[in-house]
Amino acid sequence: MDLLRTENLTKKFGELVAVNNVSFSIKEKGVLSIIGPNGAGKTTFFNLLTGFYIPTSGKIYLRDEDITGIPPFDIVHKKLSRSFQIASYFPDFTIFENIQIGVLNRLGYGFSFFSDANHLTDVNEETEKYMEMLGLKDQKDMKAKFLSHGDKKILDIAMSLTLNPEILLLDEPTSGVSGTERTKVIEFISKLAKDIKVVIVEHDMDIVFSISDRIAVLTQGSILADGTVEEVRKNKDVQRAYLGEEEEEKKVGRDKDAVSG
Amino acid sequence: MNKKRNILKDPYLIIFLLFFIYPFVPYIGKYKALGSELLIWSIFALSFNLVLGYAGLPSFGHGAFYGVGTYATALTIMHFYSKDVIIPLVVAAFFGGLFTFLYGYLIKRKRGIYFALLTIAFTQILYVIGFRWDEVTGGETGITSLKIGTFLGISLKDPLYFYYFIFLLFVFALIIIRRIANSPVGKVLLALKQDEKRAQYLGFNTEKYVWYIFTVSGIFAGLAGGMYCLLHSSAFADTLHWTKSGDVVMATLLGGGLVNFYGPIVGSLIFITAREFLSAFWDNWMLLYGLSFIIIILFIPTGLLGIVEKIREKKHIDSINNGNNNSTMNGKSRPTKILTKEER
Repeated sequence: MDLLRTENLTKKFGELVAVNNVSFSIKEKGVLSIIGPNGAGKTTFFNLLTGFYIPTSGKIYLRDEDITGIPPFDIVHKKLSRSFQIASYFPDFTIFENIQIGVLNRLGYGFSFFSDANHLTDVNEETEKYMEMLGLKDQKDMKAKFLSHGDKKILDIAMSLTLNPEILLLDEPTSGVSGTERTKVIEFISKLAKDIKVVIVEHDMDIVFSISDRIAVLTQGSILADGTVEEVRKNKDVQRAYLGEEEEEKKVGRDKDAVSG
Repeated sequence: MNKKRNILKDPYLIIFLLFFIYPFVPYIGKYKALGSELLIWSIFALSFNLVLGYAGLPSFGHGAFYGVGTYATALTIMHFYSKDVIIPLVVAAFFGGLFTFLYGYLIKRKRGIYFALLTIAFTQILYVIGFRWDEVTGGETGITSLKIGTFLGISLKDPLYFYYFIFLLFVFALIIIRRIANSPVGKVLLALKQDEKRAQYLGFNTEKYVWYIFTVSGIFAGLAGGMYCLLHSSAFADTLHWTKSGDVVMATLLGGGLVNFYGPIVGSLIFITAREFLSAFWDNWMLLYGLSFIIIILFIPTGLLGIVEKIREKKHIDSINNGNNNSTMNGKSRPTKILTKEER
């Protein structure tokens, strides 16, 4: 059984076809990277999968259940979660609270009007576990807005984990993150991939080639190629359309603008 | 130390104490009706702030539901039941909640300026109805000279008794509103105020939360309106005019409702005292009030209690900086940890 499957998925914005007739399936475990130039429809694809957009046509199945048209807040409860291109978190909440809020929901306190949110033992214990995983135990009472950019990205991902997803979609998890922080984010992601399916949109080819089990190439809203790292590397269409000459591969990969151009 | 800090951080007991002794404070204590009005306004502003300060929604026509409460109580007393005051108040809370429940369903998707305008438009519609529908609302003259019943058999004719009756309701309302604000629902509201999309992707149906809190807020706004009707033994269309809603917005912002639960009470205190005492000296007191509002919001956008929040944030940043220095030394991050546990 596929974890997630699309059938002839299409999204049009007026005349623009952002995602064009994509039939695609995502299997259990491992890292799947979706690559492609800017405007190829990667983020739109994510937005469709997670219910933020309703497709113009086509279907989406999550473990064979039709989830087309279901809103995000219901989809995430079906163990499909995502993070955002621009780190998305609650800046005025502490790190602890940022995680706590998702845990509250998973443990069924979402509509609790009268319990004291900060004194729920099970929620606090569960939240502490995430603090440990994040390595931010000592800073848990710090407001999230004071975190470094890389840590904000990690926090965003960790927030998505609070609902115990089986599939996690990460939209450019390293965008805007540099140097050692970037390594930290990648390490965090590859650790996750041991337990759950991770789908990432990523521009940095070094990262893509090093962590992916499978790569899909999206151009102009359609899947151009789909296969293992080697297959995609060798694919002539991909080389022509996207990666450039093989020798230049790495150079292109590093330079985001060249990729998107 | 620990307890002392908590009381200052969440000073509802101090507030109860201050309002409890108010009638016996020299000079000002004799203005018992003023004290009652302040308490009523505080309930109204606190309920309004659940929507503005917590959910971040500019419900700028919130007076509508306060007004609905005054008429609901007035009409109940006039036509149906006047023996005890509780039933007219329950009716007020019910209709405040019913109106927000129904109207909230229509506008729960709207945000920002659209939400603001839709609430203002609503209160103006009700205003016109209240002002014109002579047969029911008494039109321009309103409903006056209502007979105020007893509370559990105790006459409320004495302003002191009436004040303590209002005080009792204030305690009740504040405890419940505070409870909701501190509940998981309160947390979700604060979250959706900061980033609604993020909150949705954490599995929260944010529109539902908006609808719920709007309704809860309407219940307490209606209750406050009903209390206002009892205080003045009358109901006027004036309470429905959108400028009245503006008063509660100004008071809440001035006090610091955006960042502090108690901001609305501080704001109401300033507004009511300014209105009573400045107006005694100068008819154009609103000019002064408006000016001070501008100055305060220009310099402290988060309102008066925003200062407290600012100080807290500064301490917070300092502790982060210290924390960072310490963490390289490994052992020293402990003291921060204990300190923060105390806070929680």
